[in-house]
Amino acid sequence: MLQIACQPGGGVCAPADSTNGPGPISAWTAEKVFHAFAPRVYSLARRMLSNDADAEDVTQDVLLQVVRKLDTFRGEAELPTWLHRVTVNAALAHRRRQARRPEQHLDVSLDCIVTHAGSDGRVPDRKTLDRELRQHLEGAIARLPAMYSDVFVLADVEGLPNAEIGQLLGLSLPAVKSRLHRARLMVRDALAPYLGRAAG
Amino acid sequence: MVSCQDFIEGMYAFVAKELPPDRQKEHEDHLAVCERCTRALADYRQVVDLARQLPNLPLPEGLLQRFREAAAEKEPEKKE
Repeated sequence: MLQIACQPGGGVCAPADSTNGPGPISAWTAEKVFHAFAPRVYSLARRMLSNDADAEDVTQDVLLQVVRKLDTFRGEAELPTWLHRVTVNAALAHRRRQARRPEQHLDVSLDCIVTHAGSDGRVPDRKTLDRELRQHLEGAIARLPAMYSDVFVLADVEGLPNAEIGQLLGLSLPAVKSRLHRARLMVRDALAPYLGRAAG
Repeated sequence: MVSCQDFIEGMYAFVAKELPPDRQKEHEDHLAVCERCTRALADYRQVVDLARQLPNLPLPEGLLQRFREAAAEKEPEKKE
């Protein structure tokens, strides 16, 4: 979930000023907005759109909206929900525009960073296995049909409650749960050769 | 009586503890005797755990510069 506070896993970080903290949000510069929100907005958009260029466009659009609206935020607490909504809506709108184009191109460049540790017969260490699994997971998400990847990313990666996902995507609660279950099964199938290896 | 197919179909509700108590118990009983579904459940849970631990993706080079330029263009619209 989008959060203002620093996250150990590399989540959104309000860039702390060494003396005064991040300061009131209405006083943030565009650069500060970028450093605080770009990683999470880009990651969400990239995972929903499976395309670098589209995710960059969405990220820029969303961050410009943040900059324009800085004066209107009453506090940081309302930002995470707002950012999710704006990012998801921007990604969906972008996808609709892309769908009108004659040829769809799925960018699976994430696969390029997949390393095949252990292909030389050696047993890879735990860290390598975790990294390899994450990379395969990114690839599996990129290959999910959009109706499943949206729900999977919002629920299992972003940690949003199902009710909020339903509101964002215009789905009933049973539809969210059903799609999430299907998405997990598809990801599990895609990762089948790799699952369990890092469990020990 | 829960079949393997029933178990897989009901795995979301089982993991989320959304099944009625008697149905939950039937799923647990099935797990106790079915190695394949036990493995399937472990894999399913591992997928969820992995997804929750995914770090942010690296930002593309040049995105900050593009944003700086776009924000500078919009600057006159922003009330200082």
